[in-house]
Amino acid sequence: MNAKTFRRMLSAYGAHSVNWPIDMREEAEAFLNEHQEAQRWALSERFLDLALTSIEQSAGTHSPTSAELAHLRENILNHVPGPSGSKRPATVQPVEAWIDQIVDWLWPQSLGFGPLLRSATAAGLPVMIGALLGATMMPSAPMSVADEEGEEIYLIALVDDTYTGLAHDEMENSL
Amino acid sequence: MQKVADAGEEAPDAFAEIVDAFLAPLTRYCRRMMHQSTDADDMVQEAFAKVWTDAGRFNAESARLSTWLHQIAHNLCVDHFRKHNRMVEEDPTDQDSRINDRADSQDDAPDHRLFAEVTSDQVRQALDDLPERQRSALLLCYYQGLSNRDTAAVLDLTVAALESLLARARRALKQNLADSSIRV
Repeated sequence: MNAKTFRRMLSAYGAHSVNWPIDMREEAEAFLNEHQEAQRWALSERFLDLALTSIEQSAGTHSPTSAELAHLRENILNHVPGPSGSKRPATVQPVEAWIDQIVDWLWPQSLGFGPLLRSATAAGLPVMIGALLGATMMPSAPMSVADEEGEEIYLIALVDDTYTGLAHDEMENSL
Repeated sequence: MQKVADAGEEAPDAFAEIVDAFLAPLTRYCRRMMHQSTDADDMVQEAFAKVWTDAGRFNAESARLSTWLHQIAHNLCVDHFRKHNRMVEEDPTDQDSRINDRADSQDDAPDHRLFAEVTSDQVRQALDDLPERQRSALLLCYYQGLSNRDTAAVLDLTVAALESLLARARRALKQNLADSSIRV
């Protein structure tokens, strides 16, 4: 620690050693004890520190009362699901909720359908939906190479009459 | 905090614990920043709502919880100033730590005897008159008890730039106090 770094530290953090950065506090305190000039510099900053501390000690408007804090706490926890509130909506998976709704529609709990039947339906429903989707989205039987070539020639013929020798009208009629 | 981010059964209780631990300091900070307690209290509520929704973004390895919370509250206050056309006074030398060299010279500082007898109201007013960045730096370091590294993180500065900002803030505060002392 030298005079320059000590004065720089004082100008930023003031004369209260508790506000000094931890990594330089010990060295700065030693420097302060050893140098009278450093003590004079610290004294000139101490007046501002006292002024800053005076706000903290006065009955300021910035410190909330316990009643204000309790009111704020209640507002915060009411707007955000609190200990007594429900879970965050994000924790409920939409697919699960959807399956629950279908099962409840098929076997309404209010009509006394047992949990076993409802569980079996819930377990089987995704399988049934998967099978249904699989069957409907399955591609048709693959075409043979000969079929593909025939179709290609036919399509070329539609746009170019040099292959067929037919006039446009005749071609339309043949279709 | 991890429990809040996990959004499990314990999340609401864990969140309530965070509110209990940090409600008072964050309210003090927002009130000091905003001047009006109603706006400040809205900011505090908004800050905690953001904590709840953004809990997953908190990285315990890169920041302490109190730093992250102050950062959220600070950014909301600054956004509020901008939205309401309240000028956020930029400090033109924020990024220039060389100004620290000038801070070494205290010959141009007002005589401390001028503000030795100022009232706490005058100090509060002098603090309020500082540019937003300088006031934030002083509030976070002196009143919120944040370390220099944490304050620098909240203000998105290097520690050297923060020290420069603090030095300018203290010098400006001395000048404001000297002016108000002379006016009395």
